[in-house]
Amino acid sequence: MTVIRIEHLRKEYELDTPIKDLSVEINKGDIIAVIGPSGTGKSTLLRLLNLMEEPTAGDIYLDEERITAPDFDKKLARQKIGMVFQNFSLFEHLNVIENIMIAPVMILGMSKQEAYDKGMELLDLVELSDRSLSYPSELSGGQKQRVAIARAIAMEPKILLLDEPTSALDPRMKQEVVRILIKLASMGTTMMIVTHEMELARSIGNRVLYLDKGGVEEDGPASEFFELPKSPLAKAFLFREHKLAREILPVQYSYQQFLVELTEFFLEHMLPSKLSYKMICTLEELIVNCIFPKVSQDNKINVEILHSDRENSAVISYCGENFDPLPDEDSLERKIILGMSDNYHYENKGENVITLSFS
Amino acid sequence: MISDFVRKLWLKKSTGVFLFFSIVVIIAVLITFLTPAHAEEELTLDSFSHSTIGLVTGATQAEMAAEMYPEAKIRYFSGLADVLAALDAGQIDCTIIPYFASIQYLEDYPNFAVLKDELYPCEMGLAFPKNKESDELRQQVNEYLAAIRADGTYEKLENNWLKEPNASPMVEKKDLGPGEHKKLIVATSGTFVPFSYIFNGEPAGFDIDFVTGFCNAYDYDLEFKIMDFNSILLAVATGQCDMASSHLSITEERKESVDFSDCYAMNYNLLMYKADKTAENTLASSFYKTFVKEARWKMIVNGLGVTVLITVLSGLFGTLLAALICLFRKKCGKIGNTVSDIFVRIFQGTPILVILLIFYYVIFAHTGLSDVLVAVVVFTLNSAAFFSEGFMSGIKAVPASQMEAALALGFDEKKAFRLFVLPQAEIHFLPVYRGEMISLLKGTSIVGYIAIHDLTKAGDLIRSSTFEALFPLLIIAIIYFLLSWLIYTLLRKAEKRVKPKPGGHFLKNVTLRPREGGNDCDQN
Repeated sequence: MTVIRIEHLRKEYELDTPIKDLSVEINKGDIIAVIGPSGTGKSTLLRLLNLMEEPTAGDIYLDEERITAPDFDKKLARQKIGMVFQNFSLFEHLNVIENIMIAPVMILGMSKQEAYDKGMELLDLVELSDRSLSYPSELSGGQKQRVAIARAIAMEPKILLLDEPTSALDPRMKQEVVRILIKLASMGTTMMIVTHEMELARSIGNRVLYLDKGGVEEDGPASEFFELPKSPLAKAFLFREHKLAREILPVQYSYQQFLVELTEFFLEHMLPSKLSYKMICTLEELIVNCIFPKVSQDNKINVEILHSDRENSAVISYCGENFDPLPDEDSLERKIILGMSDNYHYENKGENVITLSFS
Repeated sequence: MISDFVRKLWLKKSTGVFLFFSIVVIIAVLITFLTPAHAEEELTLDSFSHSTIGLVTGATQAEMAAEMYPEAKIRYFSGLADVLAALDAGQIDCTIIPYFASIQYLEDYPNFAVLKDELYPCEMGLAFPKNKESDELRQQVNEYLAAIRADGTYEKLENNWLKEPNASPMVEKKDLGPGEHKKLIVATSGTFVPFSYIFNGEPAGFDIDFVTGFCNAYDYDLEFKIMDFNSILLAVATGQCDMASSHLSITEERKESVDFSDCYAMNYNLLMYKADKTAENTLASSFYKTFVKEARWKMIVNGLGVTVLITVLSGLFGTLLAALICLFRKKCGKIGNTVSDIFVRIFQGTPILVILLIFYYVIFAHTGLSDVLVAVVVFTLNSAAFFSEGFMSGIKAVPASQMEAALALGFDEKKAFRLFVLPQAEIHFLPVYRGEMISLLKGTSIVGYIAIHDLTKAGDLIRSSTFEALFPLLIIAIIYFLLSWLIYTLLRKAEKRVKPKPGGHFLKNVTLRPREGGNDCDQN
């Protein structure tokens, strides 16, 4: 059963268009982890969903009702869409149980006693019933976030939107919140969680929405996505791939400059120093000692270095005469390079391509 | 043990206040009565050529003093009572006062003396605005003056007021009977014996009897307006009153801005100094003169009423206006912000006294608005400017995320503001609000400048009749302090009410779940 349907949603700001064209359907029981690089409109999507922002184009349907219609009462839509914020946003002047009771009483017209009893049940659920009379300032971050979750579900929303719910928390508090979210998931609560924490997405989500370039780049079951994303963008993001591409001309080559660039790249992505040393030495040896003597001075040599959670590799390609710079199995150079790298592979695909991998 | 006792005593707030004031009183009394005596010496006009001379702002004696004693230092005070108090306290060496006034003062201050030399005789007259209507009135006054000079009434007045000290009023306002009677508003200083001062809470003196007699003769209704001497001529010139009967000397300079009647009394000046600095002045007689004589305590009570009225009304309207300003700022965006910013800047950057005078003499000059109303308007605007700043900063101190969270739950903006933003903003702005309220109370002490008898002015008037500074100033300080304390306490209570407290407001009449361990914490 579809809870929310988004059709060709677009959001433009003066300087930026975080969402270009986004369509997706959210079904009952979905626990969607929305992930993607920063600036791809994950939080904007949530703000559009609870109508804090007006879409530039496109529509959102909640239970087949077009809530983006100009005459639709935003309050009604928001009452059916729960929201949990990164920084909790509890009402500081009300105590825990009042925070949970106030919306059902003031909006739904529930009696105070009923709201209290229900609120206490929710506090049982988030394991905080003993703090019902505490004020937010007396709670830890994890406890605040659990209260915020209870406050949101007290309105019995069709869907719960969570915007980076654990980002402001230390690991132990994160665990508290994750435990509660898993509980909610097992009760069949429909949730949409924006997060940049893959651990959270992996442990809770049953569906992943990977946003990039202003749209849905990949949408699929969480188990498959985290095994191996289909989209290259998603893969690069998930495994945190980083590339450095350089073009080298023997006639202009400066060892100093190349060394500085490589070192900066490795430092930026925090490669272990041993690994970066091995890569720098291997490239230096191969390019300067093995390739330069055999190619003309103005022959371009392309170097591409890839670093990710899963692999570290370098690809060297150059045109001109076909030759393997290390033809001799027993040569000293080949032994040095094989000693430093895990794998050395030469092939000719119209141009010379050498693939090296490191660990 | 004794130190323990003292500490306990001190810790009790009321005891602390009582002790504080007791100490102030004791110190003041000691200073007043233990000042050592000075040897007497033969004095002439020349003895004062390098002295410090005290004078009333706006009085004609300033020119004389500057001419007579080019080397002397001149200090200005707002009324004769202040001048005499300063002379008594040794802050000035001498003053130049009209002969008639000296008769009463030498009676009240046996330690003062005058030199025999008669200085600068001058004519005194009633002042009128320069316009046609007043011309007619002026003619009538001149006619009346000529008439009473002829039939001997003038001589009776003169004998009563100008020859002996401690006179009492002899002309009563007559009942005008039915029908329309034009009301004359007559400015007078109320601080200058024997011409115009306060007796039994009412204006009295030669000037007062003269004008009352005139109005009786010409069937005018009459209202006296007590004003600072230095603002009387301005009030006449701007038409705030129909005439001024306030021992005004006729000078060429003054004639440029107002018209004068014929001379109704001749006056000359004397140099007064403190001859004997150990005066016989008991506390009991000071107290009697300040509070009991002529039921002067009534003036303090009335003044207190006026001060409280202005403070309460201005505080109330100021709060409402400040709330409106905040609304205006929120709703009207940039324009709202700019307009309210300018408003607030003007009031923050201009002395409230100057604003009060501008409103009284310029903006509301010809509207006939009552003095108290003008004061309420000015203090409302002023406190609104300060309150609104406090309110705004309180609202801004509440994170925007609170509003967002409320909207996300499905509240509309108004409800969200009322339920979540306002209660949290209150915690921030109430301490500021409390301070501003007390500032407002104290600020109202300047309304005497526009002829309102508030608490401070009551003290001034009593001082000008008794020539005693200690009790009037002390009692007024104490009353102001107690009022501020009251404001502080009341607003403190309000603050405690809005602060979060264990149990919360929202749980009234809700049966709470008992705590684990069996401790019931039901509350109803």
